[in-house]
Amino acid sequence: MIPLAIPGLQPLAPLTMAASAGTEAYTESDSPAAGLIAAGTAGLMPAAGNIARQAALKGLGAELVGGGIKDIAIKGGAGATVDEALAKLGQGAATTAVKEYVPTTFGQAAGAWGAEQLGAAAVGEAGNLGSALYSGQDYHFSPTEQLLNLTLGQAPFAGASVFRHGLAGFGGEAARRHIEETRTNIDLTGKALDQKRALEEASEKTGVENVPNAAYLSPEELLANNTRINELRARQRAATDEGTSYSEEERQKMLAEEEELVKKQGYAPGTSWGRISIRPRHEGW
Amino acid sequence: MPYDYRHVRDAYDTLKDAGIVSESLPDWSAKMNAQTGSDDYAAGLHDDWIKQASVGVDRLLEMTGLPQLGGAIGSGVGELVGNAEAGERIGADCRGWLLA
Repeated sequence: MIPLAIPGLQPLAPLTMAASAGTEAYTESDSPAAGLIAAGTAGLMPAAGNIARQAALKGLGAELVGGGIKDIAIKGGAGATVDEALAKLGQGAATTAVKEYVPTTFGQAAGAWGAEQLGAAAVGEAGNLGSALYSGQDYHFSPTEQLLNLTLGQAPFAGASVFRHGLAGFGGEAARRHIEETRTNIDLTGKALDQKRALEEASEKTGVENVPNAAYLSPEELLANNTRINELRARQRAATDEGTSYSEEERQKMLAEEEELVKKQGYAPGTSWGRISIRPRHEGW
Repeated sequence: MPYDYRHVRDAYDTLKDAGIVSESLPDWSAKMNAQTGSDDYAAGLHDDWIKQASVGVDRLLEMTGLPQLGGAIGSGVGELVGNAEAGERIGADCRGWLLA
């Protein structure tokens, strides 16, 4: 209850629970394996309870919110407009995939609550069994003890479940409002994410100011340069095919001349303006 | 039947606070086992900071009175199903839910 009662510490609850159960089992049994098993199962209890809760709600015909690939919501709410949602994303707000069955009747709420406690208790008991087996301690299964575990032992966790789900966990008007709010959050988050992606794509595109300055040569100069480039390349190809007929110094001079000519020719935008492909202008001539 | 770590620790700490023992818990436990010709104090042979911290948390909680209250309520509930002892133990185990 302590992590649940302190704002911001709620996500730590499974960890503190696992640490508590693990150290307690280790201290009692002197078995590290028993401690690890107890810690693992205690840490899994909230998740197991939630899985059992969702399965029960599905079986009881509760309303499904989300579940699609694009059903993502900003944690803590998206605000009232796309701009607010976008601002929250800009501030680094976390998003989460939404798939949740919400009870809209008291019967569904009661069934879900019972299933959650049973699911968590079952995992806890499996942990007790595992710890006892690994530490060599005796394991006794007593129906009355299990009944007490499920009622007395689970009572604080059941209370925590009510606290966590709030009024929406009881069905009725609060649950319907929760469904509407979640769907609005998903809608706004989807639109904000689309807008954010579009803005990011736009910023990735090379602005005109980033296009290298090209030397504006006359058509005759361009043609002459291109002819010279082709000559130089033909000589290099011939040297490669037929063997070198000039010195290394000459080869370096030719490469330098070719590079200089290519620079003079400048660069031209490609056909796709969205993602500008830069290619030397002489290519394709 | 061997004592659990908490029982051995409590006995050791009481004696140490009174200045009667000065050796470490494992040494004292080994000596007690030898003196009694049993392994009643075996839980104290292996001591580490995890066990010390665990007992420390339990002692802190006991100072609040919550385990005692939970145990009394649990005992009453346990009586309803004919198992007051289990009820008291489950009710007193408030550590899990306090840290959950």
